[in-house]
Amino acid sequence: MSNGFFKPADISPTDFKEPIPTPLPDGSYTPVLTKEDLDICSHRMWLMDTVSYSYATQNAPCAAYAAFYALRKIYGGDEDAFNKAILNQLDCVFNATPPVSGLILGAGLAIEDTGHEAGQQAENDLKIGLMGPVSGIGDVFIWILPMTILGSIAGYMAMEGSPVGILLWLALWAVLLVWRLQNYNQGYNAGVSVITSMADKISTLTDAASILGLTVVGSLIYSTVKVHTPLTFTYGEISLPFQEGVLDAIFPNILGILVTAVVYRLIKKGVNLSWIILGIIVVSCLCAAFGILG
Amino acid sequence: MQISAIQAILIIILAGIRAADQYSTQLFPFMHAFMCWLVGIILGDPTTGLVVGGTIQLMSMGAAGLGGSSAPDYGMAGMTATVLAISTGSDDISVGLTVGVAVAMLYVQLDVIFKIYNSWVFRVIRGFAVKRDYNNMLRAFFLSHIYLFLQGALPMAIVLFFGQSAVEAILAVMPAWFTAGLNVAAGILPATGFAMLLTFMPLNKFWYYAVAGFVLAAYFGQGVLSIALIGMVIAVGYFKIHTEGVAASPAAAAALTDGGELEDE
Repeated sequence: MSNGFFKPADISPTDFKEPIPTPLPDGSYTPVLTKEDLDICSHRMWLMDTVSYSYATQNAPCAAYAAFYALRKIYGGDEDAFNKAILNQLDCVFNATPPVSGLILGAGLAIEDTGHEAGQQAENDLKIGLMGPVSGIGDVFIWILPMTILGSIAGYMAMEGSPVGILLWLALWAVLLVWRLQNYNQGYNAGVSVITSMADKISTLTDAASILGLTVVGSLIYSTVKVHTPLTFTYGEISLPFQEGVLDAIFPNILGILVTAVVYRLIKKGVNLSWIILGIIVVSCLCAAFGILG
Repeated sequence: MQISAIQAILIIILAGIRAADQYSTQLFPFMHAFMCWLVGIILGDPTTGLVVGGTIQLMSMGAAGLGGSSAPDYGMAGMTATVLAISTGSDDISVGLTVGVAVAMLYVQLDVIFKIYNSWVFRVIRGFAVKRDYNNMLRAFFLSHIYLFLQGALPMAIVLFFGQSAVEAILAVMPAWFTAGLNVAAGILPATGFAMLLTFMPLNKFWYYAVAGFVLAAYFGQGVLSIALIGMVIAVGYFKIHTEGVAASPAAAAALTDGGELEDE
């Protein structure tokens, strides 16, 4: 991977000799960022993602790292303005789903490209205002649904000894990767209004995807949560296995559904997942010791 | 089986890359089954890797640590479990799985420490930025990548050197009810993944689709791919009905949307 993948070869941070940009009569500036510059931003964001997440300004350093060379180009030889712009990026709290962050940050850079320092406040407002809604969409489409559908297919097929589901997941994830390596362009070109309205219109799509996800989860609760009781009722010569004779006749894998429902209730009530897992292990050992489960 | 030096080094590097990749480049994020499969391939037993990885994958669903929250590190859990299951050579993967889950829960704490460490990295970065030392500023970002690599690689080294004998020692003294209990737990634990996932999904609004999936699997014996395709058909139908309604009549669509919002409350 050459240096040119993460930064253009003709802009170096130390020997930068460009004229100081001059404003147009109305106070704005001529936009200078090209498609290549925005691609570089996307590549640099991919290199960082959420690696700098801290309790200080959350993911803001990653946004600053991604924008570094774009800002260099915007501010030209104006070192003071550039320094102010970098510090502004570092100090503006930011946290969004990494693969779609470029949409917001690209739209922000579009404002800064024409407005320079006067645009920074609007850029910050945009970032803080949109990171919630866009992440809401991003979390559903990038994490929750792929993990539900592709992850559970991969997991289920792997348990059966087949890597096909894993390969399918890798292939579809690669498509997303190719898209995200240039997504600052979509943000930059779409501008603020489109990104904002996109967040409103997409709820039907989210609903449709949730339907697909829930169908898959419903089937997997049946096929992968395994609770079996060896209890057997004996009346004289007739013996009735509790699981096969009673429970499965009511509802197949009714114990698995009950366990999932109880865990769901506990999580909803805010019980820590670690305690739930520990509880399951303890209860399993107790039930196994007394022959209730096995 | 005995793990050779080359195998150990490959697994340690893989563990480090996985930990760094999870936060930075995200080439294989949360693909625990894939990582376990790779460990299995390195150790010459891909099938065990797949079985352990599949189980961990299903447990982990929903635990993605969204929005900066800390979640158990199931990737580390899966790799640990795979190493232990293969190296102790037992057919029973439940002991390795339990140790792996314990490791995953320890990692919740490490994740908090990482974010505190990053607050220090942030001060370093900002300090260089104020001094206009941009070369060092850009370099300082990689302190986070290095930390993450070590956070994955060092515990894996400990597991590789001590894990096998530790687990064998545990197995030797472990009462039968405990192994039986762990087996039961391994069957139940995927429920935590599904339950966690369901809390993120609109279960109150669309619970009946989960019932449909359950029925297809339980009464019709359909596999997961076939059910995913049926789910896709329903989803596309739902999307078409709702979006075409919007295109036909904006007023009616507005009324629909209002109704939908009321139902949510």
